[in-house]
Amino acid sequence: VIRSAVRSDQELALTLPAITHERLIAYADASGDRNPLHIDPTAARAAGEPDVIAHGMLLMAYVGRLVTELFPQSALSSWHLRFVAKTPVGAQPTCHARIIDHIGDLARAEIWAELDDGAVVTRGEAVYTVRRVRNLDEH
Amino acid sequence: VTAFLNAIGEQRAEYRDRAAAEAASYRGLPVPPTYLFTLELERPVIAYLVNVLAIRWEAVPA
Repeated sequence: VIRSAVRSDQELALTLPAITHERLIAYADASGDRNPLHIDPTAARAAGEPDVIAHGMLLMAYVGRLVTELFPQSALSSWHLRFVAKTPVGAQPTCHARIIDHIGDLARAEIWAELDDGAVVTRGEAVYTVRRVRNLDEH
Repeated sequence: VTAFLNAIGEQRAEYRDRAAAEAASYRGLPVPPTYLFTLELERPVIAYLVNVLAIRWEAVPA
C-alpha cells in the first residue's frame, strides 16, 4: 500500500513526439506485433488508409507511462482502455490521467489520449490501492 | 524488455536501474504494465503460466 498526498483533482498530461515510421518499426520489433498495417505503407494503402496507423498497444503503453506516474505501478490494481479512433503516422498524441475519486484506500482515475487535431483515440479508467497520508499528529 | 522500454520512450530510472527500482520499493526491475501483452504474442506459453500461476514479474527471465 502506497502512501500518497495526492489531491483528488490531480491531473497529469504527457505530450509525446509525433509518431514516425521508425517508431512504429521499433515498436513492432520490440512487441512482436508486425501487422503490416502498422509498418508497410503499401499494405496500409491496400487496406484503405492513406499511410500506416499506430499500434493501439503503443498508445496504451504511452498512457501506461502516465498511469504509473500518477501513482507507482505497485499501487495499480487494474486499468482498461477502449480504442475509439485510429492514430495515423505523423499524429502527435497527448495522454491524460485525472483522478476522479479517492474513497478510502481506492483511487480511480480517468485516462485518455488525444491527437494534435483534438481527436480522442482511446479512453478508459485506472484503479489504484493508495493509502491517504493521515494527519501526522494522529496515532 | 530494454527494446520495449526504448520503443515506448520509457526513461524513468526505476524501470532501467535495479538500485533505483529497489529504492522505489520494488523487489527487482518492474516491467511496464503493457509488456505482458507483447509476451502473449511472442511467448504465449510463458504468458499463460505467468497468469495462471501468478508468477511475479521480476521472477520471469527477460
